[in-house]
Amino acid sequence: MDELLDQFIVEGRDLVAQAQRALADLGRDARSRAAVDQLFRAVHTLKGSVALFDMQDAERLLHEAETHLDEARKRQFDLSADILEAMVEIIDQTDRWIDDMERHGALGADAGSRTATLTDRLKADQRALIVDSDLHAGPSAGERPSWLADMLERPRFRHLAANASGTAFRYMPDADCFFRGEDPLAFAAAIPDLKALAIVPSEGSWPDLEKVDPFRCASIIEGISSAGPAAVRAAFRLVPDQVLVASLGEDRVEAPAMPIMAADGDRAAATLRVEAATLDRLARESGELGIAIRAIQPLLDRAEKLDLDLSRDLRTARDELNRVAANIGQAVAKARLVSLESALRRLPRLSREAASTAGKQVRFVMEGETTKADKNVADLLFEPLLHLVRNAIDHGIEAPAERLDAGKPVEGRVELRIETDGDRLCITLSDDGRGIDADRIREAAIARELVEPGAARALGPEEVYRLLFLPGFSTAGKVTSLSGRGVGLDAVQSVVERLRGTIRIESLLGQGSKFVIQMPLHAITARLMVVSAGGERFGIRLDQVVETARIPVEEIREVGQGLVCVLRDRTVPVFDLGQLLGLEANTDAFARLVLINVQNSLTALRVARFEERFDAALQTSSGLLARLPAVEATTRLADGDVLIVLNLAELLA
Amino acid sequence: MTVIVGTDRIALHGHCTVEDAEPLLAALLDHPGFPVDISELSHAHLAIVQLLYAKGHILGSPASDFLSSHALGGLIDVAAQKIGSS
Repeated sequence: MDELLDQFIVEGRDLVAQAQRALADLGRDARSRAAVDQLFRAVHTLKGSVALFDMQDAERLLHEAETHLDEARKRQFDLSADILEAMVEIIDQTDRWIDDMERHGALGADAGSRTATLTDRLKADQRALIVDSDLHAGPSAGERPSWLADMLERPRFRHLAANASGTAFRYMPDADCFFRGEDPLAFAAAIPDLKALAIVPSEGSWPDLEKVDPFRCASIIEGISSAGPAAVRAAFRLVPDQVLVASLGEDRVEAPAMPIMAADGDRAAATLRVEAATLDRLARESGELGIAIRAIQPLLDRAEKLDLDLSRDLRTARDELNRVAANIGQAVAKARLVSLESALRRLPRLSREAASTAGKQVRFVMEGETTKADKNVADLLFEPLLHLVRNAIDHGIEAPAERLDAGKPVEGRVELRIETDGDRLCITLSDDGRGIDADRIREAAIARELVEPGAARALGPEEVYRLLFLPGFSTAGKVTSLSGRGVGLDAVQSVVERLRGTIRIESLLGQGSKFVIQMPLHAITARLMVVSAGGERFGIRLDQVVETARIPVEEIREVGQGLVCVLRDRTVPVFDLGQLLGLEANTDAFARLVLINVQNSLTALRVARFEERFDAALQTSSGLLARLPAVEATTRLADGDVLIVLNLAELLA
Repeated sequence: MTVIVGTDRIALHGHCTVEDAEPLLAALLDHPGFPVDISELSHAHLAIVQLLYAKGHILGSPASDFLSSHALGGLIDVAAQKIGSS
């Protein structure tokens, strides 16, 4: 694929996400001028971008949308519900066309008819609007703009004003541009042949430090370049509507500029797009570096016996290597962080579709979707979250009549909140629906013989909710087109487990439910504990280990068909790891136990020995290994051996 | 660590990103009398630069031509005038 198209696909999707965010804001508040502006900018830039490719139908459709939005901006009218719906479809359609371009390098055969249908919907509304015409006349194009005159008065430009030539520009970044990850200075730095630059306060004077919000842009960037207007506009191609450009020689004003994508790749120096596979490889190699360094340890041990000085120097060199490797590891992990936005951007649309299929009124609110997490996390998160959202709409939110009877607003609310807590990602999906009926789940679990009646009655609410995660469990009376299609909560749990996360449910009958997922932000490395059992070594993820203990064998008692012991006043089941894996059981007089917490229940695993702990780069198992039960991933030990990292949930199932 | 609070000044080192804006603001508020030394600054996000303009009192000049001649030029000129007039 050619580089320009590659770049367009990435940037186009970012713009689609921006437009969707604006549409979501408009869904909450149809009068929001800021959201109309944001939507206009995204559509405007998208239109400019698609014009570079064989996408005429997309260009026509976006042009119509842009025209409509521009009218709405100029005449300050609100977008009707019909138009908002059409805009959502236009953006969804653009998104699909970007997919088409990526896959086939061309739009689908029906692009023309789709454009026609959607354009008609926009036009139907525009005819209705022309009645109240109150158009404000814009500034006439021939005048020398006041901004340019003001600018040339500034001390930094005065010496250039006398023999003015080149191109002047005034860039007024959005106040919230920092949040979008933009650095306006990086755009300015990319301007060729810059002669002078001034950074001036957008409010007229710089604010008091006590009142400053460090994350809001409060600056305007003005400058003069000896390059032509086209080159200056090219540097600002991602923010064309925020820039005024004037050619100094002729005082010709060109603003706001159309987006132009530079073909020569002179992108802002501060950002570089890297292929995902390259980052994966970098992460793997960085993991291998750690393994290679650990291989020095046995050499150090040998050197120590021969020459103390040599071994000390070697140790210092090894420690330095470790330090550098750790820095590289951190830098790679940071580079792999991506905003969850692009992964989750389809959720609002799909939740709208789900609500309409279910005949329910649902407001879906998403917060914190720009939170950054490891690429793996972002890639894997969409499916389980979509399942939970559909579940909430299908089973959680009541039908309109039922809500009214319960004294609730007709419109149900489903909220997805994404936050970080240190190096953990916390995702909460809550709804204000009917809540989960613990008694019904108990009955269903007993009826399906998943639990003994006595045991089921002894379970507390949280434990009862956990039954929902058992494979195949479903309390839905009927299978709908939304959820209940065989993909149960067990599938959600398995993805969360794969990402080394936990999931729990809170619910209040009649008031709603909440699913809380927590997982590490960085998914590529895990701290492992190596144990041996049945003559082999295995890795256990340290985040699943509560503690280790060494107790006399007599303290392990038989209860029913199993074994238990008491650790810190808690009775926990004991399993021999070797035996579980079909190897030899341990028979030492002292039992070495690893107390693990898997899916919120404590279990003690008896092992032969505790060995080293280290940070490992995990390889997801593939091929033959993937077919073995209880294998989660593999990694390499310092001696080159492959270490199997156990999937404890599967092992104990 | 790119925002360093010394005994008589706040110093910015290396590549200052938008994440450094908050610690810089905190340092500026904690030490209102301290100037900001930018001689070791190699790159600055606009969030940093606008804080420096709001502060108005800097020391030194960065090696980067874009920073010293353009982005922070207005401030450096003022600093130079102050030295000239004192």
